[in-house]
Amino acid sequence: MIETIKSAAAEITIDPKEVTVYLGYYSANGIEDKTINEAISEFESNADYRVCFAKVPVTITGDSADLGFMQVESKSLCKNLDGCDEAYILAATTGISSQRLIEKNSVISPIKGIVTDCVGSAAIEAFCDKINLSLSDNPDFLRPRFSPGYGDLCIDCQIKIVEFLCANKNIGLSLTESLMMIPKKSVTAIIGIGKEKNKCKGSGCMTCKSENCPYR
Amino acid sequence: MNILEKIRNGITYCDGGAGTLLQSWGLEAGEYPESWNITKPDKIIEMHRLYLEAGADIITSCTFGANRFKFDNLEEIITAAINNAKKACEGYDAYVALDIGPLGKMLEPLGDLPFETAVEVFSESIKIGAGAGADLVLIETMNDSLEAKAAVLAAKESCNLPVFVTCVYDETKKLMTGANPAAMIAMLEGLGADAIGMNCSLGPKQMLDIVPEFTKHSSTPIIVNPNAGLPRSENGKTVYDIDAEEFSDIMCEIVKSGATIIGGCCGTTPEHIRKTVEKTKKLPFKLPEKKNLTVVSSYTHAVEIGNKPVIIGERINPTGKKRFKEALRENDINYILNEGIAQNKKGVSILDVNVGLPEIDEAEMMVTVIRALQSVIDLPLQIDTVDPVAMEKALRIYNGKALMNSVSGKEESMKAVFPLVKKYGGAVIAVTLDENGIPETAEGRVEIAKKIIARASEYGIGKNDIIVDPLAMAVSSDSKSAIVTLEAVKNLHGMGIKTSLGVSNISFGLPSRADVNAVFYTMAMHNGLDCAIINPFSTEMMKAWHCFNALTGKDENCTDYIEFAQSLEPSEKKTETKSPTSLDGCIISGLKEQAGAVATELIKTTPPMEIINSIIIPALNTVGKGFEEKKVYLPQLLMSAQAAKEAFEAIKTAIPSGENKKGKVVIATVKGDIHDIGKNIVRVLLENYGYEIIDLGKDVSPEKIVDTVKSSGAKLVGLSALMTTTVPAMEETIKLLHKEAPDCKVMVGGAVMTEEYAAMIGADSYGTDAMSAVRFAEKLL
Repeated sequence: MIETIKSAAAEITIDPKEVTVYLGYYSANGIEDKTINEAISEFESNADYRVCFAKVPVTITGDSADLGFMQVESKSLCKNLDGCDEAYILAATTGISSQRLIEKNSVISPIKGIVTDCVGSAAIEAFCDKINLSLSDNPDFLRPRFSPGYGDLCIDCQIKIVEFLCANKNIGLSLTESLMMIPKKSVTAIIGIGKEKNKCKGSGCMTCKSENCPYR
Repeated sequence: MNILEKIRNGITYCDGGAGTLLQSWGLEAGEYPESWNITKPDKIIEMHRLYLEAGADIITSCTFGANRFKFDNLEEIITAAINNAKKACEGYDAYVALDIGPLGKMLEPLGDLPFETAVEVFSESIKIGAGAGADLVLIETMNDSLEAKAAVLAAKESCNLPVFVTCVYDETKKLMTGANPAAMIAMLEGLGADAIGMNCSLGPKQMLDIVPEFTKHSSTPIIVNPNAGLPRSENGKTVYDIDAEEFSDIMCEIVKSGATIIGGCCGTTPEHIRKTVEKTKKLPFKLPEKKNLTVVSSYTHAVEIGNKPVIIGERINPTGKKRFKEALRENDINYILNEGIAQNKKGVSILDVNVGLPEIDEAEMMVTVIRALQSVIDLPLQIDTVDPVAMEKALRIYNGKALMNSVSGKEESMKAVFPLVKKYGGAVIAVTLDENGIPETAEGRVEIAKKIIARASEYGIGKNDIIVDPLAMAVSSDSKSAIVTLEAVKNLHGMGIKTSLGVSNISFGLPSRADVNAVFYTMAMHNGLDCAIINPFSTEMMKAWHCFNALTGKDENCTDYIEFAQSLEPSEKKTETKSPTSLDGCIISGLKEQAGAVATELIKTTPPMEIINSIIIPALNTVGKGFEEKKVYLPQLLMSAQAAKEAFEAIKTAIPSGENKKGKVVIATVKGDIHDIGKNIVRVLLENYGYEIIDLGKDVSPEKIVDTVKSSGAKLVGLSALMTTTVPAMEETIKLLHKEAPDCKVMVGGAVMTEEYAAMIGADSYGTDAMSAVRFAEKLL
């Protein structure tokens, strides 16, 4: 069954340090705290955190992962799910009002826009981290979140995930023709349920193979 | 008895959930229930029968997701679904509703689905369903007000069936995209929906809290179709926590609160419906009263005209504004949006939108501006145009119920405007002039108002949707003009007719106009003026408005007045002057206000081009170099850019137009890509280096980019793409550019881009960041 949860903004802590990372600071020195903190509090009053998820069976055969509702070819996903019999499929968002805020602030000033955008990135990650902790009694057994587009996992499987979770009806998430998510600050992910404590330290985007990413 | 008579004569029952029932009969996860209409029609008919036996009057066809995006065999599926429902109804006195669910895509401007495509897709399904013999159209589970509007318009344009609409509210009593019940009621009643309400997401307990919002605002029968409470997992199966007994008990309360069309949604079963029918059928039946409210709405809320005087902000209008005209000519939408955002901050309730300029396509510009405003500002808009084509185009895509400006007593005007009010919904400003001009007396103006209202009623438009503007004329040329207008306001108010004025005309030709305006405004409000188009940046006008509200008991405890008065007091701490007083210092430190002030001083002594070339550009270079060396971070780079922009604005006035421009650069985010933050940064920096930027925005087709390059003669194009899915669009754009405009160079950037990737798709340059875009432009132009 698909579970849907709505979280209050107060439950999610957006770390200004995370925001500075997205802003491209290489160290946290010399940042204008006020601008970031203002953007965080403005974002919080516009955020509408929602998530929906479901548990699915996992069968790995070679480089192919069968997740019940879809079958995908992906070496990197199979590696991530190796040893898991089950996984969570998840879709989360900070809501459409937060997207409107980012667009409004971009109109007011480019800097306000980009800071708010980065706050949004930090917010959706913080929200997913919190959900991760509540998914299982043993959050340590969960594998790092793996999203379409990571490694060799095709971006097309986004369509199947959104459809399977009824993410449009449940959390208001939809895809554009080119498979971008609306609201923009949203995440879809596959989270393997391991049988032992997860040894992998890398979480979220750090498992990605992209060498071109501005964040590394 | 047709369905419209039925709902006006007693409680009408809808059916309940389909999913749970069909799953228990073997519908697999991921299998479309709609396909069972063809593969297992007997099961579908049996499901309908169970609900009919339970007492449902309306059977919902199994077509929730039946649209072009999901099915190739649409005609076959919908026709089969209606036939199955009709077959089930044989022997029952029941009605078949063609079920229309959401499309699963977000409409523009937040998403990429064009409004007219949504209308087309809905129309296609509705035509088939109506053709197959449905008795009504049920548009349900709508999460988004604009999508609901597209669906209702589609229904109205493609059949004559009654239209029922239910939306999904959450615990905050809002749709996921922000609209509250009052906003939805205003819009849907305006569009002519025959019954409106709510379904899905919530159980009956939570919906019971929302029903009063409907009875308060709605004049239309109210539908309530709740889920069977909240879902939970039991042995891997989804079960809902409210059984038929409890469900039907709460449904009794819902009927007592004012709902007259009731049924169920997810998790409800024939038993839920049977018990509900049993318990509620003898309850008193009471339709909502006719409210006669004058209301306009946005995608979040409604504004009622008739309580506290409503301020309509007048600043989005090119009349007499050089900078605004320039923005329209240059397609500088951001400038226009900022005019809106600033007025919003000043406390206006509605924004007037006038973008008429002889040399631009007003209809196209109106649509662009309204769509852009509605992606960042949640105020209702007043569409201000004399062009009926622009008016209709704007009304179609407007998300909510708009205020329209205006209609007059001229037959030609009424013939053009009233059909639009009727079709799209809207309140309209009616100016008291006709073929004979503007009457000189208050009585004459009231007579025209009466004529307009009478003519409107022939179109089925209520008096409540007409707001009369008895026209303020310059008191300097006719000393009685203010008295006449004020008397007209008073008389109209006495007749229960809502009024509006363009206040500032009164002082035309006089000195200290703001004072005259403010006193006239106060007098008009005292005579019952309901709304006024004013400049919210005029302190005198805002003082008049706040004082009037405080003095007439419209501002409880004078709270708003006190806050306003305090905001007027000069703040004790003057903005502390930070050290740099030189222009380059201000730019390097990113001090926006100071950069403007220093530049304003500087132009008194230094030629503008010298300021640009020997101060601003070198300062920007210093910051840019620091950025490239990773000593300066992006936010600082942008702050410097903004400071430089302020300086430019200050000296712009002193430069003959075009002299400071270095060359044209067309920039855009490619087709399919809706992320534009990177492109916007590039724009800011290029602008600061003196390039003339033609920013085409996001999701731009290759053809539009090529056409713009050709018509502008630009020699450089900057393209941005975020994801691998949009890089093909970038490649296509480059190919077309190289073919059609071979001497134009292309630079590309974006998250997925690499040097090799850029070379592969034929780009002339790849930029890792905004500074590299500037460097390439400098080399080339």
